[in-house]
Amino acid sequence: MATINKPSRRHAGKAPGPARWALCLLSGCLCLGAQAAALQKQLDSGLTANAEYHAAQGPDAVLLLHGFLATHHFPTIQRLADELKDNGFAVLAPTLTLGINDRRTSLPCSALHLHTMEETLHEIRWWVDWLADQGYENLYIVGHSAGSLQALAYSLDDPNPAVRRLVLTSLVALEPLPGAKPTGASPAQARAWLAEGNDRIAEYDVSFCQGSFAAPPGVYLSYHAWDRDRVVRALADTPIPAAVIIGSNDQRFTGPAWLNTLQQAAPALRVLPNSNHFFDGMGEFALLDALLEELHSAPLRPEPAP
Amino acid sequence: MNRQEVHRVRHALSSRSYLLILLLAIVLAFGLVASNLYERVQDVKEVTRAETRKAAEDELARAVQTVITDAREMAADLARWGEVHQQLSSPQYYSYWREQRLVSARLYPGYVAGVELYGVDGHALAPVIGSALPNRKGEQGRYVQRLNDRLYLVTFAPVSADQGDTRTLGYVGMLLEFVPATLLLGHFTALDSATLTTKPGPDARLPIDRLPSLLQYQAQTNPAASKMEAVVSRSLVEFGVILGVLLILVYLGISRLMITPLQAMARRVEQLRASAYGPVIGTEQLVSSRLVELNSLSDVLQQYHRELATTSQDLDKTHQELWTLAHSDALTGAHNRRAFDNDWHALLETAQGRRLDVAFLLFDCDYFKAINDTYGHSTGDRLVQSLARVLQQALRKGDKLYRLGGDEFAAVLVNADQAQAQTVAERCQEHIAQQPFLDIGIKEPVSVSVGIAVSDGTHSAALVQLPRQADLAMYSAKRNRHHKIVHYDPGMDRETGSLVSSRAVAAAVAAAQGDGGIEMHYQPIVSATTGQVKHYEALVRVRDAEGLLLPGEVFPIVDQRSLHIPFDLSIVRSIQADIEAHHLPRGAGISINLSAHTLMKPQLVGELEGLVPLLRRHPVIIEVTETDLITQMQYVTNNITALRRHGILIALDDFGSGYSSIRYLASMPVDIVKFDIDMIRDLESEPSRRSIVENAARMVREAGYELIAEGIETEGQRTLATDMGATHLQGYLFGRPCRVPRPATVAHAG
Repeated sequence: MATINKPSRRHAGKAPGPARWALCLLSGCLCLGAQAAALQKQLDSGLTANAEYHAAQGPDAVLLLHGFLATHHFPTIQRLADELKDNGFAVLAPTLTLGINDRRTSLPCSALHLHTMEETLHEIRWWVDWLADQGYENLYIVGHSAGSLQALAYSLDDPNPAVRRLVLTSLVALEPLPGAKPTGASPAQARAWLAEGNDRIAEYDVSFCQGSFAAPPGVYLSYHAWDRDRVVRALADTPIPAAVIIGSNDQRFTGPAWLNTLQQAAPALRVLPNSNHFFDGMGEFALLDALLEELHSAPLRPEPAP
Repeated sequence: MNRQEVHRVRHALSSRSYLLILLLAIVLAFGLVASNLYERVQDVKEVTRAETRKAAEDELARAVQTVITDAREMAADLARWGEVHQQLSSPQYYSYWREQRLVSARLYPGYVAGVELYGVDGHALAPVIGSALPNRKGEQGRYVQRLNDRLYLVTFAPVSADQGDTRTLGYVGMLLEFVPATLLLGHFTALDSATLTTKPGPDARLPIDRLPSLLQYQAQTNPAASKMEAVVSRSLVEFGVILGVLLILVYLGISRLMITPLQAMARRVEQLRASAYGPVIGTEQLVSSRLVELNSLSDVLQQYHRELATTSQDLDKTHQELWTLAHSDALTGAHNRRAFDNDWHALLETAQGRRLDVAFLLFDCDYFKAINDTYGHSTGDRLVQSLARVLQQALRKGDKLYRLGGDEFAAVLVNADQAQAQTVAERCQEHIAQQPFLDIGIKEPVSVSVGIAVSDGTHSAALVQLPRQADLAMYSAKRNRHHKIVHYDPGMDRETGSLVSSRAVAAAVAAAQGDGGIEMHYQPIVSATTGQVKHYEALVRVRDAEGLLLPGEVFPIVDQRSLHIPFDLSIVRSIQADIEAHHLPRGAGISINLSAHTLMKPQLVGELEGLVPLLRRHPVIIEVTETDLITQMQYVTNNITALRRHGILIALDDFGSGYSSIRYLASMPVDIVKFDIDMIRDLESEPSRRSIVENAARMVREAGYELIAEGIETEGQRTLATDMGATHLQGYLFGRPCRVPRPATVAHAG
């Protein structure tokens, strides 16, 4: 998951590394390529949200959800969007606002996080509904990393009936990195503050935000609730067929035990060899192939119950 | 050296001077070129400095604009930042966010001194503390804040709701410290960034267009110009050093190769010129040089000088011969008049300012004219040669003898006083007396009169007078029958002075011109046997308003002015007048003195014809001196003979005072001989002299002449003269000269 955590600044205090530069350039190019499909909508929360939208003549549309604190300009999302568009899918890749109006950049861990998991799921719902309102009959939600988690979470609470399948790539749980020593405020402390009605900002351990996730205790706890167990349960509870695609080398956020857990929890699990969390390099093609296979193998819209 | 040569020499310089002037001119030219070049470099440097200054201004203007743009863009970026939107929408955590996301996160460069968010109402979301940003945004979107001598650029940017919504959510305020921002964002090559500072001033909020004027800085020193100046300066110094070394080498080289040999040659030539009368130089070179041309020139000069020296020696020899001839007397071999003049002037110059005792001796042969006439010019020449030889032998060793003319010689004795001069003069006379002049045919003794003038000379002015003084002394010696060596004494000047007395001159000239004044006095001449007056000698006096002038005062003027003839004729006319006036007793003879000049006058007989009628009453005797008669005998003889034919007797006056040659007397057309007073005195002296006089008187008488003894003043003398055979006597014993003699004493001549 990308860590671009501030506005693009020409005079940033620390220069980015070569890999990150390449990533930014690629992101920029994709961004420019998606300009024609830029979409901005005011959500029911009053916030303005940005998205990339490629309409299609067919009935199939894919909602692409980016990773934790990222945007739809994230390269993995952009590659998927392009591939899906080229394969005749309508594609909608929104940038979740995370409580920030007209958010266009990734949020750093140190940014103030005032948007809860529930509010994010509400935005996903809004976008799913909007996409369904565009007339597409078959909706697919493809998530990447935390986006997969949020797609999964969305599916648990009255998802749009047009959603046919979930493709969860690099699915993660929002808990500290495996093996990392906790440095932020503890969940117990957060719960205590929350119980006291204290909305103070504290820095917590959330995913890759190691002791730096600045948020009130309520916000933190909304994300913290989605640990591995909750994910495993969600996989079992989701009403929508869900396929999990994960790289064999994806050990960045969840560790080797997570792969084992998924193999047991997710019946439709694809482990792409030699692929990392972002499916870089040759993993990109494997991901696209696997994704298309999953989408094409999706069951038709079930007949409504008589 | 003529004027042109002097001018040329005066304006000539040595070759070394010309070389130095040339080298100096080169140095001066280099100095001018170097100065001009350095000045041009300075001009270029100045132009470059001005351009650099202008470029610095432009750079600063661009940098200012860059900073302003940067601030605007940063503010705009910030205004677009979602988290800003978040804070404006939900500012409850603004302080935390500002601290964590704006301050601690170091999102902005160091020159960003502050960032604040302002609500739509312009108030800061949180109180601004310790920053130049205001708590409330004003109307100005951008301005300059000077605070504590620092400049800050304050930029506000509105925060819009989103791209499609122009609603203003609030503002972002950004504070840039201007100088650091300018230094970081600007690109300075002409402006010296180290000198960019804020001009001091009071804290104030100022419009943004004042920014450039609020800064102070210095332009960079243009490194190219500085380097060019350094290169040019170093090049000039190096070239100057090289040029200096070259000039020194050129100077030394030319000095060694040309100037030094030339100077040596010039010195050698000068030595040769100075030693032109010395020995002929050898065959060695004048100088030795490394230049073939100089060696050739040296050889040519050497050869030329040898030839010149040989010619010079020949000329010297010829000149010496000519000089000897020019300064020697051809007849005697003694030094001639020119030599005398040269030596005399040289002596005068030598005596300038020095004490020098000089004796001037002037020699003149006595009766040389008579000897010459008697024995002929050939004998006279041999006499002169003998005198010259004898006199030269008698002089001191080293003294020169000069023949001034005829029989006159001179000798100049240096470092000789009167006694030494007297000794030399006496030795000369002795040598002459011992000289056997009979060898050259002269039977009579030969003597010389010597005039001596001695200078105690303290200066040359005294020396100048010596020739004249010696001449006066010699003249005196000539007149002196006994002392033939006479020293000059100032009294001679007084005598000479009388010659030029205006009174005597006026009287003598008037008398000669017949204007009167002549007054004849008559002294009786008595018969030795009877005592009766036979004649009166007419003795001339000249009377003027002041009285009588005696012959001694008058005759020098007559001699000097050659008034002999008119003066004598005036005397004759005066005597005629006296006779006609019966001043003389009837029958008394008259003895008249005439000079040789008058006796030589061709028309003399006609002039004296007036005396002929008087001869019947007064026998006339013409007296002529022994000297005049002897020296001019050839010319006066005819006149005397003619006068004698008219019955006029001729008396030889002053016999014995001069040459007194008996042989002369025999050939003289005279009737009477008058013995000089000295001969009468000799009668009273030693026997030998008396005998000579007596024998002379006897011979005169035996020859048939009447004999008059002059100067008889005593009875003794009268007796001696009578005994001697004198026929007539004259002297104070018988009467002094008087204007009108007494008639009683007159005896008729016949």
